[in-house]
Amino acid sequence: MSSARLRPDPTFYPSPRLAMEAPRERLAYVAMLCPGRSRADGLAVVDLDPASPTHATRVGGLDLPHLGDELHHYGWNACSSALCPMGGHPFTERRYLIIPGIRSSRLYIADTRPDPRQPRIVKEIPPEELLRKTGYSRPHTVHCGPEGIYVSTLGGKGARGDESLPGIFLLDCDSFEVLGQWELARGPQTMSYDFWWNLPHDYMVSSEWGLPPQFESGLVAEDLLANRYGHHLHFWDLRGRRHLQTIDLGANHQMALEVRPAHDPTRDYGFLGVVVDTTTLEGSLWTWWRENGRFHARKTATIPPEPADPAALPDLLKPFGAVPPLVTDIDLSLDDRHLYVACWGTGELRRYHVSDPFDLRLTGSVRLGGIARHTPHPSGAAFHGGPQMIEISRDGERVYFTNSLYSTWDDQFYPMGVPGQMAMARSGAGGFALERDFLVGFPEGMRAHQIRLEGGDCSTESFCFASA
Amino acid sequence: MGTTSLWGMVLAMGVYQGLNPTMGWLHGVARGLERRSGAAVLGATFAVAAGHYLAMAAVLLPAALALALSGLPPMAAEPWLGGALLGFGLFKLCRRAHPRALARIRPGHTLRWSFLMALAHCGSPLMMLSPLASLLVLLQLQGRGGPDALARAAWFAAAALALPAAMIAALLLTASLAALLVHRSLGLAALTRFWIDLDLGWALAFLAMGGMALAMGAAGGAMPGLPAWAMVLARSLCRTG
Repeated sequence: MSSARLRPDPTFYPSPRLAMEAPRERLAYVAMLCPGRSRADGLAVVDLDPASPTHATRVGGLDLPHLGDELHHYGWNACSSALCPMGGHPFTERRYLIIPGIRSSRLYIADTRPDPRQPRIVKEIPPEELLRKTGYSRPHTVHCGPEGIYVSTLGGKGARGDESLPGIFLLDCDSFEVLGQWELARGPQTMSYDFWWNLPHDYMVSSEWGLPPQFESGLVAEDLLANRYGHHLHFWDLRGRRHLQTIDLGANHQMALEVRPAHDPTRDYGFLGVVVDTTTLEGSLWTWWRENGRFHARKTATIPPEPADPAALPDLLKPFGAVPPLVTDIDLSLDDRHLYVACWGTGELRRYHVSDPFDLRLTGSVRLGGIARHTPHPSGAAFHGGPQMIEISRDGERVYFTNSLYSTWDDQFYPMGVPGQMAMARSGAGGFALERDFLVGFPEGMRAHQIRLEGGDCSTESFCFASA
Repeated sequence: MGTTSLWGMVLAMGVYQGLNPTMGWLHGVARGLERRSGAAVLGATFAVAAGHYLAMAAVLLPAALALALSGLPPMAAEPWLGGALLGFGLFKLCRRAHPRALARIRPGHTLRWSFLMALAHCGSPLMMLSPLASLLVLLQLQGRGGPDALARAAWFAAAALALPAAMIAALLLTASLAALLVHRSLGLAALTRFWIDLDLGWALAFLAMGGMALAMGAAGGAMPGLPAWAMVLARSLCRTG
């Protein structure tokens, strides 16, 4: 299905630095979900070209053919990892979006050619086929790597998705056929969420959210207070497909979500965001690293909860009289200098300077939305929900984000609703501030989740060559 | 084919493959940047070339010994080789990605990867069989493959090791220069600027070499139906590979 070229795709960058120097992004793809099932989910295409008269508006999109998929995370069929010395397919194209429905367990392959503003569905993988070939359901993170396209899942077999263990499966990068489970030996891993890797050093890192019964109908407060959500980091032998090591962050560190390894492959470390500490309501950032063949992790920053009038809080938070920051997404700039942290509960987007991965320094913060604060956008418009899914421009100067977390959780934390919105903050030596003229709305009833940038972005690209 | 043109062709193949990033210089550049060392550039490039050489020797040496000890005329192999070369060339045209099994090899195991890649994807061992047959004929014409099977085996074995050595020497020199040039002066940006799909030309070279072998086979007493056999082979490989 993938067409081949005679030269490498110009959007494959040998190193992080070359990716930063490449032409800037002109389009964003945004996952849209319609929890009311009044219409099908889809993608929105947003114009990011500042010279365009339609800048910061929706200029196209894609409607999916089924109801209730619940789009969440998704990714490109190919990225800079295609240039790796042992990659084996340098002439493939960054062209297809691999789009999982986290609720339906259906997978779509959408072609962004010939018109990048009007992607077309070229293949559908029904949930039954995914389950039959992999034993997995609730597909989530997508990365392109040595053996093809890797997709993590949150569920296994059964109506509730908890009758067998979740994990990672492989898709063929040319035909998009489901190849089967990736793991040969999963060790003690029982939950799953995000994953990423260091390609030349041949290891993978994965994290844990919870099993489908713990999130599909909403956050289960008893499970959270009993520390039953995920709190482990798993390290894997990437080519060997074997579990190597588990690090328990401590049961109070509930929901270990996004893993962000340094982009420069000579750097043997990365970051992790943990949603909430059940003893303090803090959110936390962790640094994990490899030393002498073993992996380690340490909490390197905490973000405190903010007291609030219980009357102004949703039922779930009333007993606490405080809003937890809820660190639901983190994203690392391509130069590995800035880590952006979404505090979806308090309505804050933080910027940390992380050149020293063990000395995280808060160098900027913007406020928008929030459970108790409801900070409006600088344009004067209301902002619903809080900063959530982050995507950083390749040059590191623009930080885009949307506001929805997950359908049923949105309703618990923001009972007034979370209509889809996408905003942008500018980041530079001069500071970190919201862009007044960038606020994108979405059609009635649609929420907005992950953003993907045309030509690659900071949470997509993996590299085999150091920037040096 | 004369001796000079034969060696010339083998050297040209080496230079061509040396320019192909995945045949050595890409590994060299990656390792050099990782270790921040010029020696690492050459070390990794050498490892890829060494694996490539071993793969060729592993095929050519038994083939040459079999011909020497059986006493069959080397030209008898040409039509079969022609068919295999055409089949592999067509297979390469329709399946351009590396076999997925190669992706399981660890990044540090460059020599092993290169050995298997040469056998399964690049196909140089197969490609070199036809020049080897020609070289063995030349040796016999020069009276070096006489009636004594052991003496013939020694000469044929030397040819089977020398032919890929010449190819790899040209490859290693080209790839090392390319790796150093990119690592030291041109920079990584050159990697995507100068990387073109040399595999495509290599697939076409298989077809040309196959055609040549068939023609030589025809000159020395043809085997009918071989091109059809090659098509069947290519089609089944494309379907299952």
